[in-house]
Amino acid sequence: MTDEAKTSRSGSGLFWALLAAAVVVVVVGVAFASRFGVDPDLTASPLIGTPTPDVTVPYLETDESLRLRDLDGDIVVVNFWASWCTGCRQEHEALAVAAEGYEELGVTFVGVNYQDQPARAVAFLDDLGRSPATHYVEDVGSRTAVHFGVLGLPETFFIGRDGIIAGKVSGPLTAPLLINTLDRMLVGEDISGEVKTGDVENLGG
Amino acid sequence: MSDQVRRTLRIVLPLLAVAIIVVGLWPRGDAVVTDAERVDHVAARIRCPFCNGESIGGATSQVARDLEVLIEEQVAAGSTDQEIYDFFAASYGESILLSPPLAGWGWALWALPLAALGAGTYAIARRKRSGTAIAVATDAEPELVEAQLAEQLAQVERDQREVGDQIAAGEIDGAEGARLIASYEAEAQQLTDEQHHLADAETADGGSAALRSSNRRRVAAGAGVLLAGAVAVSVALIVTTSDQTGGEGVVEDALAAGPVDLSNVTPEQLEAVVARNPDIVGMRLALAQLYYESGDASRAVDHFLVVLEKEPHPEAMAWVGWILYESGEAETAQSYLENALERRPSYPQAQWWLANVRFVGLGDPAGAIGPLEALLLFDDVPVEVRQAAEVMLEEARAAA
Repeated sequence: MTDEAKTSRSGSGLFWALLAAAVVVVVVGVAFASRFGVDPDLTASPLIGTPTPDVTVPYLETDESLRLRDLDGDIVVVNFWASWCTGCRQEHEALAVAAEGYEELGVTFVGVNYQDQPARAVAFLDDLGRSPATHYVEDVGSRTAVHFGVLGLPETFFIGRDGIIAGKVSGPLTAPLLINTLDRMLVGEDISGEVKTGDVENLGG
Repeated sequence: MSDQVRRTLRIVLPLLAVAIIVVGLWPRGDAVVTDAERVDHVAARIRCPFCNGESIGGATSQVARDLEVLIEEQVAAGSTDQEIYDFFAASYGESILLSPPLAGWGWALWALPLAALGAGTYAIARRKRSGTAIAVATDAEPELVEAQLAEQLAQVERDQREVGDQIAAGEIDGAEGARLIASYEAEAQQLTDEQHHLADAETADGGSAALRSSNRRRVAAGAGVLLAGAVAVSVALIVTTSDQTGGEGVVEDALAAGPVDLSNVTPEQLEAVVARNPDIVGMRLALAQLYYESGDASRAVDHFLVVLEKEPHPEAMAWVGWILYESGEAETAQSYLENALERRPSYPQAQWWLANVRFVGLGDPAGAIGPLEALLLFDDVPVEVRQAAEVMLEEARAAA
């Protein structure tokens, strides 16, 4: 082989190597860059299709506590709320009315007060009204929220009669969404999935 | 630099580079010994789900402390690091982990540097084997060899002439002289051959100048493609992130022209700016206040509520409280103002509003004393507010 041929081959090898590197850089770079526009908080909850976390939470206004798994057999709506959360104010009435309306159909509502002061939470209920059919509990040390993977408030989980988490709503619930979801669960439809109705709120870093 | 040193360096330097990379990448997990160190180690690798992307260890909020306690308990209960990561990932998904797992895109992230290292090693090995690139590495070398050859040839020719002279003078006998002359001729022939060989090589090299320049063009094209790739990545980044922020540049442009005098801006003008920059809280607060001042409390509340949907901003809270009070909702107004003051205790305007809500709205003069006293501690309260507050404080004390 002549030197000429060797030089030519090594030159074109370098060209192909650079081209391959460029393609890899562009593909990987664009793939990663495109993820910057996606809020990682909005990934679907991995809990859908898994059993209710086995947590026991103290009641907000009494000394007793509630074990969530004791509610298996009912359709359970677990709503995370706080007095500082404006979305929770918006959805409160829909939740309270639905809790009354669906009680006889075997639907139980649990309101988990999260990252709040008990006195403020009680004042919130005094102000907006409490539904006697709802279990208002206090999430001491954020334990329940961690088990449910709560990313902000309000967030609501729907648990089927089999004790399996069937769906999640991030953001304030509306009466039509709540009623539609519960009616579908009551007739045995599969609601598996997650709905986002608006931004969830945080206390900040 | 002698050949010996050069050869040694050629072996030692790559080994040193590999050693540095290996030491740098070696996992130092073994260094974590005590439970407290393990908690710190794990907390630094899990994203606090409520703290703007900070780790549980790095964030200062109450939620982060709660989660740290959970990690402490799991460490004390004998869970491995991986079990703790799995626990959080089971609830929040893999995105809660700051060290990407070896799955999905995380796999590519870890594999890329290794692949690049492998490809680089392969490329260097190939170039070394083919030998061409290194043999003609410098332009000076062939000239140096040529000069040396010419020098040696001249020496051989001089020696040959000298032997001829000595034979003619009878200093060396004929047979010995003929042997010497033959050996010099052979040496000269060899040197001449080498000269020709070098000349051929140079001609070939010169002939391939066009080829080399075409190679250069290819390399330049490759570099161009790389540069274009970098630009594409940057553009993708800018496009996707500006989607998120809603293009803050518009406001920056507006502000760059000089300080904006909000007293000359109409709500419509500011509404347009806010519409283009929906995430800039300060602008929206200004717009809401402008609406309030122009008598449109309902639009003002709409904008304050948009702010509150994003974050529990004390100013937005206090304003909503005040507007609620003015529309007769003293109870709710009090709750908003208390919340605002809890978040920002140094907020004289909210103290003044809270005092009014309690004194006038709720008929609770005793409750107004605290906010009024707090308000009067501030130096920068407008004179008319200070006077009114002093009067109200006297009345409140008298009534309570």
